[in-house]
Amino acid sequence: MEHSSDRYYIPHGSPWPIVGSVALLFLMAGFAATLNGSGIGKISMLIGAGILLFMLFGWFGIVIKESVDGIYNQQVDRSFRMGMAWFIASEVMFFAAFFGALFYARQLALPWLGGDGNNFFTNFLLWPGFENAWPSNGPAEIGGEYKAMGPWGLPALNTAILLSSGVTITIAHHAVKAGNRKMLVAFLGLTWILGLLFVGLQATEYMHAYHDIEHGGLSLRLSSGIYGSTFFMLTGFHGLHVTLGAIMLIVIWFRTLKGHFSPENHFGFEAVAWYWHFVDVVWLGLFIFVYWL
Amino acid sequence: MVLAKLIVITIFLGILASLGSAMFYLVRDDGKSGRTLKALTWRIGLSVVLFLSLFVAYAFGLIQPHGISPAG
Repeated sequence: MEHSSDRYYIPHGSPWPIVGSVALLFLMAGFAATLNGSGIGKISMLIGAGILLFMLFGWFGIVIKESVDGIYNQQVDRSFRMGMAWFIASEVMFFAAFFGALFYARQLALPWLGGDGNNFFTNFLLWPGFENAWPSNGPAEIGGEYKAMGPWGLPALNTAILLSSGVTITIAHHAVKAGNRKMLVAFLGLTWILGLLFVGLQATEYMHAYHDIEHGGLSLRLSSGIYGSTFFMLTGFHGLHVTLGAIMLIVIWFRTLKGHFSPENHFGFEAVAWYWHFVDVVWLGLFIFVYWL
Repeated sequence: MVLAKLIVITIFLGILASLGSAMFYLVRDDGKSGRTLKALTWRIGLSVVLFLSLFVAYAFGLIQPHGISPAG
């Protein structure tokens, strides 16, 4: 196949879309079967996940090879950048929904239940004696007794760890621009190690939260009313994003070991670096609004 | 109390603005531009300032986490 830099590269006869479709078929059919209590469902989901992983490796591998081979022209580069922008737009909407739920519960719903504004009778007739305060699992005290997660200890330490990883990725970023490969490899490596450390500590924090108060825990669970559900949905999905970001960093790190990325051509690195800054900022928002304010 | 909260939120808005402008430059510029990196450097710098100022504000009694004592 001939490629020239003035033509927009389109891969011909790629098997990966159909492989991905088969993976999704196994996943969805398996999920539906599991919901209906069939034992074969989980096996089907495992097969689907396996095929999906195979597709991700294969497809991303081809794209990296095409990029390194210099097949992509300026216009393809712009397509990648636009793709990143739309992906981030969806991510922002995703987190905005959960932060929005937290804001609605704290600033509107709970004050109303407490009789704020013109809702005197809501309080008087439905939940007499309920006073608005945060943290709260609502007037029905769904999930029973619990303790709130304070900002000291692990959350503060985790914030320091994630901010440090933000510093190391920025140093790595300066290194890639300066063409300093040794520094790039060292600080990028440090970044994903800090990222995995964060996820490990977050898991420890969750275990502490889930344990009963009598056993030294907080009895704080996903089922602990509006506080528990917003806490775990926000921090849980954030943790998932840190995990994904760390995997992306590891892939990029192996690519730098192989000598990919130059001071002029490193969009893959820059996109992942930006994504890491993004999960860092989401955490900072969480730390401020969930733990502090 | 309110002033400390306002300062925290203002710095956080600055962080969002620098992160957002980094995204804008990432999409707009090519690999040779240094504007994305510059914006991201601002981003991390402001974040470190915010983190430290939370502790300073707490030490001076200007801010309280949720108004409750440390859990656990």
